[in-house]
Amino acid sequence: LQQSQPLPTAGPSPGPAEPPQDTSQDSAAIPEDEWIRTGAQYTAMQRLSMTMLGQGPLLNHLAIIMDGNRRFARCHGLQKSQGHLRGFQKVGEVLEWCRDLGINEVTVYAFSIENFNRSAEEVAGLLRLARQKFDRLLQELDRLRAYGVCVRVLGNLQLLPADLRAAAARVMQATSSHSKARLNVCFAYTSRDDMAHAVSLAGQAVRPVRSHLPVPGPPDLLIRTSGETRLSDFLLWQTQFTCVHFVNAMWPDFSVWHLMWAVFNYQRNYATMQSGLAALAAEEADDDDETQSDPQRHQRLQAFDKFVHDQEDAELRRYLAAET
Amino acid sequence: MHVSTYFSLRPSSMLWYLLMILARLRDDMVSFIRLFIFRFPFSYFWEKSNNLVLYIHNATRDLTKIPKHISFIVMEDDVDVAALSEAVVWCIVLGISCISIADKQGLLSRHRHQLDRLVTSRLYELNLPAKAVVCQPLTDTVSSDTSGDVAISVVLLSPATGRQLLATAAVALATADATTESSSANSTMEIKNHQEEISYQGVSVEQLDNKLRELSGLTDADLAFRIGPTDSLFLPSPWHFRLAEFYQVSSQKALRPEVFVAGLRFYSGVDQRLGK
Repeated sequence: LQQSQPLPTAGPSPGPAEPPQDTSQDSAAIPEDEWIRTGAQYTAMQRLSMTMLGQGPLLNHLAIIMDGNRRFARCHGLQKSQGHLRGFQKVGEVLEWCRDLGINEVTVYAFSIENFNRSAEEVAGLLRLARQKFDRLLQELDRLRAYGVCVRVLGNLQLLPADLRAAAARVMQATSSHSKARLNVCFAYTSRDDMAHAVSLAGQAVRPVRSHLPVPGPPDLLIRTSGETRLSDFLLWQTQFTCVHFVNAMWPDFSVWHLMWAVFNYQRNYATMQSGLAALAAEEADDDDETQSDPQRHQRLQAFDKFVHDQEDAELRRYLAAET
Repeated sequence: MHVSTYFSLRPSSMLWYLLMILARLRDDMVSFIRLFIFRFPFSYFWEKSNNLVLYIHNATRDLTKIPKHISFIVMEDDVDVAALSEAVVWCIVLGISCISIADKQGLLSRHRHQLDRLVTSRLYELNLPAKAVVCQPLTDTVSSDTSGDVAISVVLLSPATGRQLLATAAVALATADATTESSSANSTMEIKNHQEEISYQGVSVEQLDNKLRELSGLTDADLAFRIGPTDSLFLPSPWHFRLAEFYQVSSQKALRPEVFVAGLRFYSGVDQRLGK
């Protein structure tokens, strides 16, 4: 299990951003347990590389499949739970790197519905860790606010225990008004389940299927660690013209160089991706024109959008109420 | 993106361009060396058409897993119909029943007859009894001929087709829902302004899977060759590439039987834990 950190953008500034005033309540927590970190030390070569990457096209949305915690633990003679903990700590590091590289939105694949097939003990351990980490995230609300990070927990939350659902709902509610950066944690998620849910909601109309998978949006770059070369039911709808980069290192061994090389590969493919996206947008624009020219249909779709939004809010409130 | 003023702007830009060029040179060199190393011992064997069948069978004899659906995702701007038709033939030689080809601009649909012709003539040349039909989902349906043999369908996809497939499946399921559930008063919500009813019976993953299979004739992709610049990708269908293993090929010209076999070996060696 990894949980992601919010990705703030501090706007153009030299190198790593200025840390905000630290009013975090839990000052006794060790730095590795923090979601939002400050004070990463970069070597001169790393700084040079970051500057160089700044010359290329912007990377807005990064998606990560954080794979390999258990294999890492096996290689280093640790328990699986230790592997997952290291994985979480790596997330905090990576999110700081993303912040310094100016990446606004990060989506991470924390827990798949398929992971419920693991042993009951491991699943219970992962859910317990998740609960702790969501609570920890709430303690860092000041930093989240300072960086303007909106955290969303995506997936089939019905499959989770009530206390975890409520913790996730609390985090989402607390950060819903933030708009500078986004962190999407995919928990109890599979892309197919997400698509089936959208189709269920959409019912009859064609367009809402497309417009009701707004979170997360299409990733610019998708990274999978541990050398596996498949997407494993992650963001399948959204992966249209995405740079998909597979890294051989295990997730806890993921380094800033891996990240920078992935970003560089994205920049190399930027032209190819943009031309493909333009062609796709042109095709899908025909559909939009049809909607715009029919005011009734347009109104119907807008009302539907509002309805779905209200449903989601009501669901969050239900999760919070169920815990008490 | 942050632009550091610690280092002045121009050297960084130059460095970035230099690195782009070096990376491109490296990729080109690697693919050239790979082709050269692979080609030399094998060119004798597969240049004669009969030996192609022999070569593929020999090279894949020891593989533990053969994919059921192979997909070729072309990320280059042009489509090389000859190379792709040859690749389709290799799949047929291997006995793959489901083949899909996708290109990023949907150009293949214009060349489908040419593709069909090339594949059929090559199969004839190789004396293979299989029959292949090039088709596009949503516009064509694969039907068995009078003798009862099912032709191997080669499905052409494009970025828009994949999404359209899902949308069509959604509409089909919703319409089916509406006709069977119209009398049911449970689980329906009214939108106040427009008095529209939307059924919340819900659609399961299995239902959607079955409907898509029916509409497209495609099973889940097992192995996908992504052909073009390193790491670039689009998914031809948002549904079918859940567990597809991606194998990078540098260009359509680099599609050779030995590269195909290397992809198959790679697939055979993968251990999919399926979440466990």
